[in-house]
Amino acid sequence: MPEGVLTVLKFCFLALIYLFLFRIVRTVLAELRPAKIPVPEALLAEAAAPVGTAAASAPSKRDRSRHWDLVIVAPPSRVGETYTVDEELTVGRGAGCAVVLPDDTFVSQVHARVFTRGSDPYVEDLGSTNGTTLNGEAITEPTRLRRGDRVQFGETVMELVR
Amino acid sequence: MNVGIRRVGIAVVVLMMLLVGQLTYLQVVDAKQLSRDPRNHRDTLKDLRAPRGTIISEDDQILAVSKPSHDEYALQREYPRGALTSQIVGYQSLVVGTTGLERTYNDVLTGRSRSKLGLRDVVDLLRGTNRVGNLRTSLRVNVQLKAKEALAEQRGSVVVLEPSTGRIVAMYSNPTFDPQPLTGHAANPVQQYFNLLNKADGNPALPRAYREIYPPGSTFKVVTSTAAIDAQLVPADRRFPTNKSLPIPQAPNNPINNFGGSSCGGDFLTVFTTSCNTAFAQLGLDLGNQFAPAMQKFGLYQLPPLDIAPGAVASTGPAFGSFDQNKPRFALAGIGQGDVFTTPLQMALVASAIANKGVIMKPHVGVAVTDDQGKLSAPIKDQVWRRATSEATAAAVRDLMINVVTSGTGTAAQLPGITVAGKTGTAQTTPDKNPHAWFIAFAPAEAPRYAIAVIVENGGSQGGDATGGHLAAPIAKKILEYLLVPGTAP
Amino acid sequence: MSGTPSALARFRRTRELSLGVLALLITAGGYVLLALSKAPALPAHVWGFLGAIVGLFACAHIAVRRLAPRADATLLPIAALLLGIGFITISRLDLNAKKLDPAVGPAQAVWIAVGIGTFVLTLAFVRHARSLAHYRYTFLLLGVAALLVPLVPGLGAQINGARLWIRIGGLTFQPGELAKVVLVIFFAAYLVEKRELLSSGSRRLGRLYLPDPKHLGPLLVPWGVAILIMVQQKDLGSSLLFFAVFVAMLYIATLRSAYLLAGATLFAGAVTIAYQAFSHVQERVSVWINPWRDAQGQGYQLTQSLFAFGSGGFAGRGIGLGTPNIIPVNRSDFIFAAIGEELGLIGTVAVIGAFLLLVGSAFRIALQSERPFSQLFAAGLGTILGVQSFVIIGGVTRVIPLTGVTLPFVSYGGSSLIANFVILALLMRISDESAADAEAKAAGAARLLAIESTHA
Repeated sequence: MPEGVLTVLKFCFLALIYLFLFRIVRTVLAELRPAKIPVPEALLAEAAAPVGTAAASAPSKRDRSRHWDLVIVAPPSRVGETYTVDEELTVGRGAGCAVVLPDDTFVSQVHARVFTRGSDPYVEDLGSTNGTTLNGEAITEPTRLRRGDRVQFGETVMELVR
Repeated sequence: MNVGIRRVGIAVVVLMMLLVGQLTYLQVVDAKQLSRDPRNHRDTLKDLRAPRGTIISEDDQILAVSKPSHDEYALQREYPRGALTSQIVGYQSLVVGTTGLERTYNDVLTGRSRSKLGLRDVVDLLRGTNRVGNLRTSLRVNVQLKAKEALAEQRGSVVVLEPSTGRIVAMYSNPTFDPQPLTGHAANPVQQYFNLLNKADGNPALPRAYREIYPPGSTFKVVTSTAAIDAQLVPADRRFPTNKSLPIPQAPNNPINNFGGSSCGGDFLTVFTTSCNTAFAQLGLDLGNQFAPAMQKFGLYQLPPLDIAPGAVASTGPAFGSFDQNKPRFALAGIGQGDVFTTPLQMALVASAIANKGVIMKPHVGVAVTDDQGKLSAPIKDQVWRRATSEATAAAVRDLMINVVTSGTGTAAQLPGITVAGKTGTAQTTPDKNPHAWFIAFAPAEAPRYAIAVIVENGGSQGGDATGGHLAAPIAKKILEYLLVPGTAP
Repeated sequence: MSGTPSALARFRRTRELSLGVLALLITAGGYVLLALSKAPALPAHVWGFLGAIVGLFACAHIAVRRLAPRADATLLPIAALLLGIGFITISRLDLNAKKLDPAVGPAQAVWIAVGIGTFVLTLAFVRHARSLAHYRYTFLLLGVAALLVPLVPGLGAQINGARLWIRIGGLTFQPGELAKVVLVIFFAAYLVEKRELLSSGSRRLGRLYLPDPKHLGPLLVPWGVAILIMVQQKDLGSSLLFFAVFVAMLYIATLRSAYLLAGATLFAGAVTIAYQAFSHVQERVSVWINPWRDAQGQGYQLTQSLFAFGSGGFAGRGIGLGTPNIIPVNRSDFIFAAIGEELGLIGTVAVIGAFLLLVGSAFRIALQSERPFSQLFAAGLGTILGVQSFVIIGGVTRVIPLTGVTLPFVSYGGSSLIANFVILALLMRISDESAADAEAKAAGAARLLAIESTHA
């Protein structure tokens, strides 16, 4: 086989490899673009559908102007400190958290997060060592909070207020 | 934890980029050098299987040609002139690599380099046909034979070139070697032969003409004279005192003596013609720090652009600007001893500079590339290498050199009806060894066609009595006579 | 496992299939191209070859659909591409095989099949990545034992001066390759358990807070033993790899740069001691500093490798058109040089790009997971792949001193292939698990929301 033809074929071969790499990158980007993982929204609708069509539009109907606050009620040294729950509030001993609890040795570096879905607040334990309790009961999944609920991280207790 | 994961991920990316950087260096920046390295046999392997052009002498003799080999490589190189031209043509060897013209003009011979890329070339490329090139050289087998005959058993070199073009007509050294066994494809016998060559007495694999340096002795007085005239150290009325020896500053116990313990002196023409050491040692001292730059103008301290891979070695002289620390070295340099070491090729170039009105052409063997039908496809241009001196100075030195042959130490080189300009040299080596006999010349002096340098190592057949005039000048004469006097049959 | 695949699972498996088909196409194209370089005809057994690679990929792909349907889509195709490029290169070298340089293509084909079998079995047996963490100390013992086995007289075998093989019948196997994986399991599990304690120092030393040695000890001891064993077995590449992976995991777990510093110091110390104590280390370093000084002797391997890259140049000689058989150890340690010669810079950068994407996928999987053990484990596995390819490619290109490790998925070698397939399977397991977690979480949140809205 003439060397010239082989050279042309070699470049085709190399071009195919780059096409492959390009398509890998496209696949990665396709997953990243819509959301962190694309499916939850679809699933959201799927799961909500049997219960009622209100689900999808419900959050927008809620009054967004009202906001939730978390107030520390224990330990005594920090009583009264108030944090506003915007999109997300992380709680932990690490300096990067929104609520830093450096003196509570039972609190993990990043212990839990309080976040809003629609305008409802939820609390979720982030795999902490000693767990998070809501009104004295350990939570295992993201759990809806209501006014007056008490959430405990280590020895620190916070209450949800409006 | 996510922060840490990202940072480690970035570190991995940085490491990979480092690899890409190094690969770019290896495969683009340094690629040519790596693929040309003689220890990299890939090109040789590839070329070995490919058709390859012929190398032809000026007198139409084949110097190298590919013949069928009846093994997996299909072809094997053949060198019909064997040892006579091996130090110029070189060899193409699977086992020990490629050298000489075979290496320098590899791309030409394999047909890889083409001056212009036409439609036919693209078609050829796609069809995989490869049109090889043949190399025409300026080397003349008959002159090469004459040089071999003249040197006979003596160790030494003869270099003959055309001053106006730089084309090398003959370049022969004794001893030399047969390149044919190196073209074999079986590794063991080739390697054994190669090792044997490198250990052999007299080092036949060494092309002395351009890769060995010797003290040039009195032939170097051509350079000293040129430098002295250019520095206006020898006005017409300068007289050199008649002495047996010259005391040297910084070395009171080592005065410079004249050849054979004689006394000499007088005007410049006389001291040149009689090759008077005391006078030229004095000029070396007078030149001082101007001396090394003047040598550099002749090409010392430089790699001459010779087209025979792996190229010529540089000739050396005393260190620049070291006169005040080391005056004796400059006195010795004045008579071509001490720190001065030159290749025979360099001394031929010195003669050619004087012959060619002060200009040195690039020395080369390749003259033209011809295609498979023998038609000229690309000439190889003659090019100027450097200017050694002015035309006027060259003319003055030429006259000095003519006098050496007509009435001085070089009378043995006289030719009937042709003026020869020359200079003899008898160079001291170590005290226990006989001196090297040198002669450099060009002729005809009025319109020079050939410049020549001859060296016979360590007294040759004449032993301790050897002089440049007695031993080297007759060899130069034989060759110049063959070249210039009509009817001198080989 | 749910009966119908989720949207994410469908998306990922479809992508995996189409990317995989492209990788197979490239492999088949390279194989044909190699044959064309020798004769203007298709290779005699081209259909058999095509059938074999399609069959092998189909096995792996179907297994993933059944066992880890939501797993990342890119890992398997990238591995297929690297295996393909490696196999073509090995087959190419086999064309000029000699007695001292025997053909290994058929053996490699068998190993790939065995590797895919291991991949499927790993996916089948490891249903939850977290379950691995429970057996951390078992894995520690297993890892150390695997490193020690080659030292057992009668069982161990020395190849190329390194005693890290076991010989059973006619087969040799390098248990150290698998030891890497199981020790990373131990590290990840232990670090997650102790990261709080390790990241907050309890002892003060000058301005530095040091963790309690009783927490660090169980980590440093097996790691030190592993390194000692590898130095003893003259496997510098694995030692280096271990060191890097360990320090990286410690850093990821604690985010304390003091560990990086300590790691660097320890490394410098270890290198100095090794340099003083072992002549083969000195040799490697001096060859690295100047391979040209003894180009026909100690520097031969490296200079031949550099020549291969140089001769390959930008575009390469073409598959089957170079002479890569000159390079020593060309099917394992120096396979990248053979690729560099025939595919040039374009090809070598593509291979590095593929590794970058492979490692990138591993780290992406680590980031997508919300379970600390899985995160650390995936990052550790990604670091193994990344550092190992850096160590060997850097070695053959003279970026770092040469230490013999294999180029993952590309080099010839059964143990290495099997270990890498296990890594691949574990990464896909973690990926599948995080996707399942995310789906469950989203479903939970949606349900809550739906309930909430009906109350409103």
